[in-house]
Amino acid sequence: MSNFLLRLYIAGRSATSQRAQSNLYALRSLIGPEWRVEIVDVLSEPELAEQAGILATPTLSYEHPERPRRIIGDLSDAKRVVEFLGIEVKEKYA
Amino acid sequence: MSAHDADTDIPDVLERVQTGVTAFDELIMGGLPRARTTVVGGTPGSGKTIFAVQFLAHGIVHAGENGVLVTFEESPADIESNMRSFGWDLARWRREKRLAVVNASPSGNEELVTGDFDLIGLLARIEHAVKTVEAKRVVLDSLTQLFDHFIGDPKVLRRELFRISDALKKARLTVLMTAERNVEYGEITRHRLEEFLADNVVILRNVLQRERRRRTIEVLKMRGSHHVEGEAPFTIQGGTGASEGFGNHGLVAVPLSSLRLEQQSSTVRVTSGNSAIDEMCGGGFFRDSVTLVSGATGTGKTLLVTNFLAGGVAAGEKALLFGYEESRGQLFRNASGWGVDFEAMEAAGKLRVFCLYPEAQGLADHLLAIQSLVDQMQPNRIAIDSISALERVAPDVGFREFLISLTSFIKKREIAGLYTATSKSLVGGETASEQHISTLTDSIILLRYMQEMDTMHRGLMVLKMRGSEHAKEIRRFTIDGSGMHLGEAFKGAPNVFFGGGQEY
Repeated sequence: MSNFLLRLYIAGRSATSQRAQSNLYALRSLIGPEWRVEIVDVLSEPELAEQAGILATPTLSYEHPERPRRIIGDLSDAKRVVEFLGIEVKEKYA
Repeated sequence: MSAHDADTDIPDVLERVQTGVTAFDELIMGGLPRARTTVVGGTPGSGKTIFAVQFLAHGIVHAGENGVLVTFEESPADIESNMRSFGWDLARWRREKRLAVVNASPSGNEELVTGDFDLIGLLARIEHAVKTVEAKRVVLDSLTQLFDHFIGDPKVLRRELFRISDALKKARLTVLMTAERNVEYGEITRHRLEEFLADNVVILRNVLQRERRRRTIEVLKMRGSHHVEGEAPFTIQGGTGASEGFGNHGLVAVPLSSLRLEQQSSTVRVTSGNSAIDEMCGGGFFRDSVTLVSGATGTGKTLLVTNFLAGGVAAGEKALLFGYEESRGQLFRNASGWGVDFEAMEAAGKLRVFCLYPEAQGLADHLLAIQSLVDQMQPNRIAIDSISALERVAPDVGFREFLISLTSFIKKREIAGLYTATSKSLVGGETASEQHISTLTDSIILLRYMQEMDTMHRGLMVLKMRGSEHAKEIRRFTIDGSGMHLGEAFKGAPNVFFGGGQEY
């Protein structure tokens, strides 16, 4: 189901992109196994960035059919991330 | 580039990229320096996007240089339809892989910005587009929109834009970025983009003066290069309601750099259309000279114009008249009242008469209209009746620029020119136009009402005749059904010509 897909656009091995990637993997353990995560490197696949209209990296895209949402930044604030995406969190975290 | 002077020590002569705005390219020594970034600042509606797209269009159509358009504000579809009226078919160029568009206009996505980020996503897309069409020119329109998108992170934006600019320059791309200004005079661009980003800064202005729009283009900074200082007027040709027949589209600047009046003077004389006046001028007007006829209303200026045109046509020349005070019908009736048949002359292709309200368009447009008709018709002589009516249209600076441009254009083409100016007072007194153009025109003829005892007479005097002797006396003249007749000189004429300190 596309409703459970999170796509992260990154730019190679830049520091923010690396950070966003590890933050996303940490987040994933909180939101359950039905969520899939896809990583797109804009440097090697610029045409995908073009299709998605990506300006900033990293960008996390939640391609919800009715309410597509995007988060720009390194995803360090996990609480804001899940709130904005409207995802229920399985366990409580501080 | 030809003719490199071995003695001048210029290590790296900048290669120039033409913008397609010819007169602007002249101001900046041939074009924008290659592999540099130029920021074009302007208030909303000043023509930034048109200028930017023209830069790409010129590359694609005339220079064999493909382009990339990055649009932050308008959607590609909007830009395509807006630019079609200038004759620029962006959609076709995209299909032909001569243009790539990077759509960075706002999307409908909800968005949250949190934590550090960069714009490598954008850079990767631009670089990809550049590679796809092998572009040489890149436009980013407009940066202000991008700043507004990431309003909370101006520092990041500055860093990232610098990175993008730097990367594009290293790839030998010539980059033009537009940025919005809040005011016509003051802060150069919002967010002070030019300070960290631009090798060159160009300002487009759209100023309301005396209820008229005056558009100008100014080069504020050009790193490592000379440029002509000051604001050059321009107009936007094409677009909605465009007049047909003009070869140019988009921004058309009025050349200021070519305004030095250094044309060679011809010694060939042409008739003024009145043998007595020819005699007073030492044998007629010079072929490439501009003569000003100044006088109060009803002194016979339009008659002199009519004679000037008819005299040229009789000598086998082609003549062009721009009327700004009277209608065509009126001018034709006047002429036939003096025994001159304008209709027959037009039918023979020897004369063309154009009448326009001065207020119908700005002075830059008037100038371009005159130039374009001169190019079409290639006349030997041209009359403007009156130049003072055009003065109503524009404030002082604009009028002076117009006069300089028009005069230099006429002289360059070796056309004999005649301007009329209406003085405000009936006797004596200078018109404002006279003050402006007395130094620009080669000859000045004054027509004045002269009081002698209890009678009012008309008097004519050649005040100035550059490069020639001329009669110094004031001749009385009469007007009847066959035109103007010069009579005796006034003897002991009262000092009415220059006011003599009297109030009028």
